[in-house]
Amino acid sequence: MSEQRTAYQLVEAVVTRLDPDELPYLPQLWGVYVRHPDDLERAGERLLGSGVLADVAAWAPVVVSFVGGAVLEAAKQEISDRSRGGVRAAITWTRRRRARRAALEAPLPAFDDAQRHRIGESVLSRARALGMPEERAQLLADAVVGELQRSADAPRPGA
Amino acid sequence: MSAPDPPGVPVDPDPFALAPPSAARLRLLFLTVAAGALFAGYWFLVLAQDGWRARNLACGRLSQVGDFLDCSTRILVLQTLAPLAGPALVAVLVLLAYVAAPVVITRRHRATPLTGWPEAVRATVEDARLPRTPVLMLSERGLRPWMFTYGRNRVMLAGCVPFYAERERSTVVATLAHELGHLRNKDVGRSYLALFAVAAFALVVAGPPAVAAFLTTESDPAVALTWRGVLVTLLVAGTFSAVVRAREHDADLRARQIRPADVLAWLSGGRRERRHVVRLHPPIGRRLDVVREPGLHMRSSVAEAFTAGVSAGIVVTELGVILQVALPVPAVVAYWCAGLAAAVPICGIVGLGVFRAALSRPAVSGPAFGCGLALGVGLVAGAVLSPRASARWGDWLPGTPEVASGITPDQIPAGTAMWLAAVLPLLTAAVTGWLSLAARAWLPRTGPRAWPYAGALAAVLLAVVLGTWFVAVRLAAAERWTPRGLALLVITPQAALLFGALALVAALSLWPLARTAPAAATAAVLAVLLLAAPLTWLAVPPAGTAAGTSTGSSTSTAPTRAAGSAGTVPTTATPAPAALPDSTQAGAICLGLYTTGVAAFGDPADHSARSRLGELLRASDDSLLRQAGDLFARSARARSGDLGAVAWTAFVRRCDNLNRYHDHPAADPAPPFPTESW
Repeated sequence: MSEQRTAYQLVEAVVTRLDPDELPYLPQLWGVYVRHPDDLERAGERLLGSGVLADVAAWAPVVVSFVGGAVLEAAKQEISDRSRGGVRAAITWTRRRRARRAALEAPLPAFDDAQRHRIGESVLSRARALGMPEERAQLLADAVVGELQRSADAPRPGA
Repeated sequence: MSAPDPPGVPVDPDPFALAPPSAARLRLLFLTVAAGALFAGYWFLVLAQDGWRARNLACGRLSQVGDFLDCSTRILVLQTLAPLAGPALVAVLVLLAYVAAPVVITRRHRATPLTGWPEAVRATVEDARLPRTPVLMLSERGLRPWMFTYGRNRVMLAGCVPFYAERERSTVVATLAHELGHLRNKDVGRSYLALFAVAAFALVVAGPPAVAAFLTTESDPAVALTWRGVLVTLLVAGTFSAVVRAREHDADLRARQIRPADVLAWLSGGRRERRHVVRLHPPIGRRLDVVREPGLHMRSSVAEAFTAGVSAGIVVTELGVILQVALPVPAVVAYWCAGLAAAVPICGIVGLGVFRAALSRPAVSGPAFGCGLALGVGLVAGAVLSPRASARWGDWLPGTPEVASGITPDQIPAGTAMWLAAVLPLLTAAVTGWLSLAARAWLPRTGPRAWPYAGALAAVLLAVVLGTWFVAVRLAAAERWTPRGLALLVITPQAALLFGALALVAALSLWPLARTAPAAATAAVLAVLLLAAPLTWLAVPPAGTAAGTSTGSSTSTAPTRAAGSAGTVPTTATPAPAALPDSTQAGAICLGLYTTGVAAFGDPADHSARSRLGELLRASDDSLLRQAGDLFARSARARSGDLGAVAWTAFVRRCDNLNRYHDHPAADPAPPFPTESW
């Protein structure tokens, strides 16, 4: 059963562990992320913005971005295969966008221990790059890995 | 209602007592882009066109001198006005982009108006007390709480802002206060215009002429044009960066008035975004310092003055050429007009900087003089950098006209060039120094209300300085003038009278200093006297001095550069005209004019000299020169200076026509300086 969880359900579970008060905003944040996955970690100057990168204290945007990023990373090869073949760059770009959205909405694949470890390391390093304090970064990584472990430990349907 | 300042935040001086300088910076940016576009138009529509030789030959074949003058004037006006297509194209591109931008941005973000404003957002907008309630648009992008302003009155909010408004209220309030500060400063449209102007500059001005120069001329002028183009592009990019960076400080200061504690916390905890190519925002630490101490943002800057000077130097070089032909006024007046066009934004940047600095540090005048010196050095650099003056284009593209000269060693004798380069910074330092003293004199009495009057007078002073200096540079490139001869030619008694009157008004306006700071007042009066004394000396030349004497112009074997499509008629006293060769051949007479220069005209009051010149020309083998000789003779009989000037114009233009466009053109044709009404 748990093997069939989607990325959104995994995000929901992680946010429930970290701060359940943020759950009501999750659908909106997830919708924003699915359309434009790179925004949270974009640190380049916005031409007419304020020029200040404020630290993000809330959990939900970070979890949405990092878990989504881990899922997209895991499905990188599949996305590349599905978006290949376009003659023009614009077509390739559109296909890649669709493939990424499909990967985010599809049931999660089964992750083995090594993959879970890699995802945990990736979340930790991205949290540090975002300027998150070490304690919070470790808490976040543990929550993500813990939820992935819970999925793996849950009995498979029909087993 | 504004929240009170938190402890430790000083309230004085008011950073908005005077207008922020970003508007003036933008005007200068536009002028620089327009100047570059003028050159691009000049390149493609004048220099790169093949028909000028044929048209000028057709003029030269006309039988009547009046028709010849009309014909050559039409060509000159066409060559002057055609380059205006460059700035027109840039303006069209900028306006189209400006009009389309809000629609494009809204569509790109798939933005919709934010309904049901969160409480934090509503309270911040109310505290900003804007004249019009802004339209808040919600983007479909954004997991960070970013925002930006666009259109006339819109703020784009990241898609997650409603979430952050509940969970991280202080960050949203501070960011929104900053953006509302932009709206309150009315700098949004300016920023977009600046951005599009820079983009249009890159598209129309920076690249195409350099590429075309490499394709159509030899490498020397192409290289000379390209390195100037690169530097001017860097200058434009730097000015754009200065425009957008200055507006961030202004918006921070406005935000501090709206929500001081939130803004300080936001800046203290925030990080700086990563730079792409040009840094568009000031460092966070600097922003924090300015919010804590607004006086830091009100100091004058030497680097800013230098940059403004470079831009203005390019502008006056380009604009002076246009106005001198297009306006029916004497050349020096046309150059004063060009100087005024540059002086107004310069005063809005450098002058306003000096005045704003006096608000926070009234007793400090040293930086003002430093800024003035930097401004003058920048102006000299601008005259060198101007693409129009980067080469003598007629040497490389035969048949094309040359209508500008730069202060470069290959165009102006080294001694005169050094003298010119030294005198301008001193004069600009005098203007900014006066402005600083005027601020000390009037700010305690009238407050910032004194600025419009002081700024206007400083702009007029600067315009006269700029116009006179740039006209002197062109004359220096057209003749081998000694510094004094040049000054005598440019500073006519009328001009000296104007300078004296302006200096007197400037000195009298400092009278309040006599009581509060007598030492400064005495220094100012001494400075005015020091500047006025040379003017008096120049305006009243001693008897027997040859005004407008060009060193070796009549004896040097090296060709001097006098003749053009029309020559310079000196109005100062010249005792006797230099002799032209006693020959009937037009080629020999014109070669004589070429080496003798304006000295051939003699003293304007000496009508017998005109009569002798007329007799010489009437014996020539060229019909148009014979008719010019008739005009000289008639002017001598009628004692008419105007008729003499027309005759001189016909003489010089005909010789230029023969030198430049006929079968055996001169090897080193002179850059024309058509000053019919000089």
